[in-house]
Amino acid sequence: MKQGLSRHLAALSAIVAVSAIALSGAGPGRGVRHKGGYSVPAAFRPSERPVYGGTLRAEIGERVSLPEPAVGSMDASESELISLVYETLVRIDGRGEIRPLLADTWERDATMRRWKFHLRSGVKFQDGTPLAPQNAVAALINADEDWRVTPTSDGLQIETPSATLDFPTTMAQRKYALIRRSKEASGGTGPFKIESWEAEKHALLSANQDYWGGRPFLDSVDVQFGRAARERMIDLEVGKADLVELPAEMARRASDEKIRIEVTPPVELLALTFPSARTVGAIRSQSSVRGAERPPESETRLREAVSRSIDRAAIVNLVLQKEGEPAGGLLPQWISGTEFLFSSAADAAAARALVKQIAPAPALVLGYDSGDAMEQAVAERIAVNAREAGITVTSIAIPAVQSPPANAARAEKPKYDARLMRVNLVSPLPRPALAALLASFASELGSVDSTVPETADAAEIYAREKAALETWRVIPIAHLPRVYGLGPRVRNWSIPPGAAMNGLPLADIWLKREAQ
Amino acid sequence: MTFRSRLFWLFTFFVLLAVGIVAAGVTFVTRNAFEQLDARRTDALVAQFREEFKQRGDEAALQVKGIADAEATTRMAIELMRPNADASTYYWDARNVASAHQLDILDFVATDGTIISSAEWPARAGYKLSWVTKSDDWASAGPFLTRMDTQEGPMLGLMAVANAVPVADKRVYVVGGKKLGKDFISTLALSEGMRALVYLNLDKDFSSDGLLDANGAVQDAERFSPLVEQVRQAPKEQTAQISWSSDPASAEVFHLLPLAGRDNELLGVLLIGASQRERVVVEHRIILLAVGVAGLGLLLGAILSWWGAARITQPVTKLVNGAREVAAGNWNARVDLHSKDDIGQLAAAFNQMTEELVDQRDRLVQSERVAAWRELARRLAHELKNPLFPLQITVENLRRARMKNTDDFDEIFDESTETLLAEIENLKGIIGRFSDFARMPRPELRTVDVNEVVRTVVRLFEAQFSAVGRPPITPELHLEANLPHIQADPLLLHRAIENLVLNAMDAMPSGGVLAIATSTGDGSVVIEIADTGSGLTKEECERLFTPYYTTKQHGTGLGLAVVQSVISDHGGTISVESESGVGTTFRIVLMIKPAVETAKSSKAAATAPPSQAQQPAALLAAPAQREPDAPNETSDTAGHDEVSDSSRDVAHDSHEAADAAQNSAETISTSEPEA
Repeated sequence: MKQGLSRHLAALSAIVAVSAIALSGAGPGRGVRHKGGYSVPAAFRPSERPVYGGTLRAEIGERVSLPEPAVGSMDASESELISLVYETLVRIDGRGEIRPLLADTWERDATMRRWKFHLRSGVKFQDGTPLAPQNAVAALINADEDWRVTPTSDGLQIETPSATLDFPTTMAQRKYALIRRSKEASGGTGPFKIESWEAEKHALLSANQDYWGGRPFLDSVDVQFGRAARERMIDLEVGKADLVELPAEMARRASDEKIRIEVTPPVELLALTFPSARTVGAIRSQSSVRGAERPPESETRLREAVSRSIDRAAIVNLVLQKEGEPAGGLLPQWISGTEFLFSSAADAAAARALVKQIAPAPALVLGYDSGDAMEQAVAERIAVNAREAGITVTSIAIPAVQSPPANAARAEKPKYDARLMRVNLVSPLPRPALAALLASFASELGSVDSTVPETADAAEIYAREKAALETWRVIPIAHLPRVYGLGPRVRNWSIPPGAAMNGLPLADIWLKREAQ
Repeated sequence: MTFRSRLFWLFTFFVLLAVGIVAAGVTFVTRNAFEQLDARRTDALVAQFREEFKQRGDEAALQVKGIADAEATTRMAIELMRPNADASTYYWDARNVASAHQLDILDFVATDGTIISSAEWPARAGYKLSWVTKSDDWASAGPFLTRMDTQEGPMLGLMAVANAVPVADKRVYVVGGKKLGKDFISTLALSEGMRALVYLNLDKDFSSDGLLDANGAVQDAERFSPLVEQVRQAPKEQTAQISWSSDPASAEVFHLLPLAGRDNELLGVLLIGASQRERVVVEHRIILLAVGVAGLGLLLGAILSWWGAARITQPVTKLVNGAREVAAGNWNARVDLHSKDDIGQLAAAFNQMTEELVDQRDRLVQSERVAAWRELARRLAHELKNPLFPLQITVENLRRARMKNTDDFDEIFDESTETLLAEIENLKGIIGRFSDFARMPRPELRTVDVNEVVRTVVRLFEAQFSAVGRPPITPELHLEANLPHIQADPLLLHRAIENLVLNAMDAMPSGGVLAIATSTGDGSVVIEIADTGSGLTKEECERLFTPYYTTKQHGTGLGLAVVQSVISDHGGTISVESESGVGTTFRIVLMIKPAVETAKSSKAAATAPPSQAQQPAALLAAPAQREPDAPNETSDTAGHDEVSDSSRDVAHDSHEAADAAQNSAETISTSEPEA
């Protein structure tokens, strides 16, 4: 009954989308870009009806290793795949509002410390086990050591040590997905289940026939991991793939080559980061080898000079081929609404003036992810910009996992003075998004308070963001969208801006049947 | 140095000289050949580099021209002409095009010099490459070497510039080329032992990172610093050598070729190195071979010189030994050589000489023996005739008186028998003196003070020196105070000195001075007895010690022979110096510790000349008896006389005389075993 309802809802939304496209004049087969806080559904022929069956061939660049959400940050692609298999109690919709998912209702007490989630009825794990309160408690009991998770008659209660106003937003994060672990395998409640998983190479997902929202149109999803961007695009062009993840800088070229692309609002921050004061000793000793022993105020000036020397617009225009936005703040404009208050314009004169106050002549080693061509290009551009300001920047490739360790005194010294980092925005809401970002930059910000109060309003969020940026240890470069290339068979692709972080919308798409 | 050694060194010298000359010559020729070969290979490599350089440049120029003429570039130029043209579209184009054309460097540059797209440094897009705009005629410029900035740092590129089709007086420059580095070097075909390096002159000072070979960075690059500086100072082709260690084989000779840019600025240096290992190894082998040959030559020289020397010197040595044997008295020595060469003829002549010498000696001995016998017979006859005549007269008187039967017969008889006895005694004396000489006693050595002996002798004759009716003789003694004692027979020494003093007195019938001096010689004692007589002639001096030779009317000629015998038995020597009208001096040298012992004195006597040792010994077998002074018919000049040793018991029986003669004969036969 519910499955049929879901299908009908999907079909209805498709019809609405087609109507919108028809009104906007977008032609079939033409790439559509999503910008900012609105969404435009993908185009398909109005006469087409949803079709069940078929295998979607997807290719992504990341080498996903774990078949389930890991504690801590996840790669965007990994997150997208995980969301197909595992679900959380609540979700954030396209408007950034909390919506029911596995919990159909929730409530809190007056202290805002006790939150009760009432589970949706009729939900089963992919192994057929019903989603019972005990199962939900078992999945979340170790999610946070400060929580106290207890079952209720129709759900569960989570007691936090302090008052949390938007606890549901927290629970919408992927890492709080409900997972049932058994001796044989682990599974979730999502629309797809894992048929096979070859770490870092390949995964095969099949449709969850008992999905509470109705069986997905696709029979299965075949995902290739670790394919190079060029290969992914070629595979898409020659029809070997239906869905590929593309680097932002390739979107323009793909569009020029008449490839159907879908671009989300910026959901990723590209930033230049400097190690925090905790590791600065190690870094400085390294720097001293290059003759860069300087007092702290000169280090701050140097970081500011680097920031001011960077021509972010040129980076977005040239390196990112105009996909993305120059970033002056940590959060993109579409999330915070205050990003315009942070300047992203290059000021070479100011940078040179700052450099003149620094002695000896500044020299930096800038690290970038060895497997990320875009980061390399950005790093090289930063080096050129900095050189114009009188700063010698040498860019080097570093392992993707390398980051300043928590205990730098005992760990191996980093080989760089600054590095580029790409951090996913976990929420379309400014507070959790900023909180997650600040948490990601905790090692860089050091003593700066990286928490964002639950009650923080827009002004306070801005203040926190500004405070973090005034250290010049995190220098936003650009906000990056997520770009997908779609094959001609893919139908009903739709990612509302607020749902850009929710993962691939594979549960709602179908494949055009091949002509017999 | 022996002849053999001389021959060996001579042979060695010539072998070494020959080997050295040959080795030096071969080494010289080899070195020249290697140097010429290295020069040819270097020239070929330089030519190859230039050809490769030109070919690469032409290829780059063609490729750049092709890119500039491509439709896509024309479209780019047209697009960039539009208002609000978006150059970012072409950001990655240069990299893609460069990859397709296998160019290391490719830049699309706008009319104002702004980089539209850069393959080698994409991040430079939007910045200026102003030098491109300074020429309007890149088509005729051709390829050139220039310095290019990349994100890895400055580099040298073999570049070309072309213009895309101008659109409304605006143009797009296409700057492309290939990097001059290890890849370029690796294309050069190098002979074994050669290597090519390129120094990129990108820094103000020498930089080790700027020196590259086909594998990239060069080890010990700092060693090349002087070479590069050499070219920097004088940018022309040069040659220099680097010795990597003390081993000469490690040396490399580098040909340095400056690489200039469009404005003749020095942008790089090509270094073509030729290892000297092969040449040094060959030279080393030649030297080893020469040393081996020299060693073999030395060995051969030693063998040949030994053999040659043996062939040459053995006969000579035999001749030398033969001559030495002859000198030692062995006249029967022969040289056993049968060769027909000069040495053989010399040996034959030597053998013939010794044979003739022996024959002559035998004949001489025989004749001397005969002469001696005759002389002895004459002297005996002379000595015996004098007493015999009175005997005969006395016997005839006695017989006549018996026949007359005179009364005084008894008186006559007594007188006659006395006379007979006196004459018989005289005869016994004559025979005794001969016997004394023939049977000289052996010295009985003891410690003797020569000065005391001299004084004793002088005291013995003191009365005679100043005898009445005789001109006085003044003795003068010059005796060394601390004269060392010697080992000698005092009686024989006394007798010898006594004979010499008596001789001196006889030499001074008109008186004179008898000077006797003793002194210390070199391990010896010297006794000099000088008179102021009339002196002797040279011939007299030569025959003075010959037995039975005398210049006196009454002498027997045995006195000085006895003196010489005594001195000789003591291992000493006696010599005489005389000047007519001035006097005569006898000089006796006696060793303080005579090497000649008593037992050897007979041998010393045996090795004496035959004239002194042989002839009397065989003759003197009669008992010695003091000879009275008797007239000598042969003496016609004043001379010396000998004295008999009246103090010694010289009574010998006939058996002792015979023994003495036998001993002497044996001694003579021992010294002449083959005579």
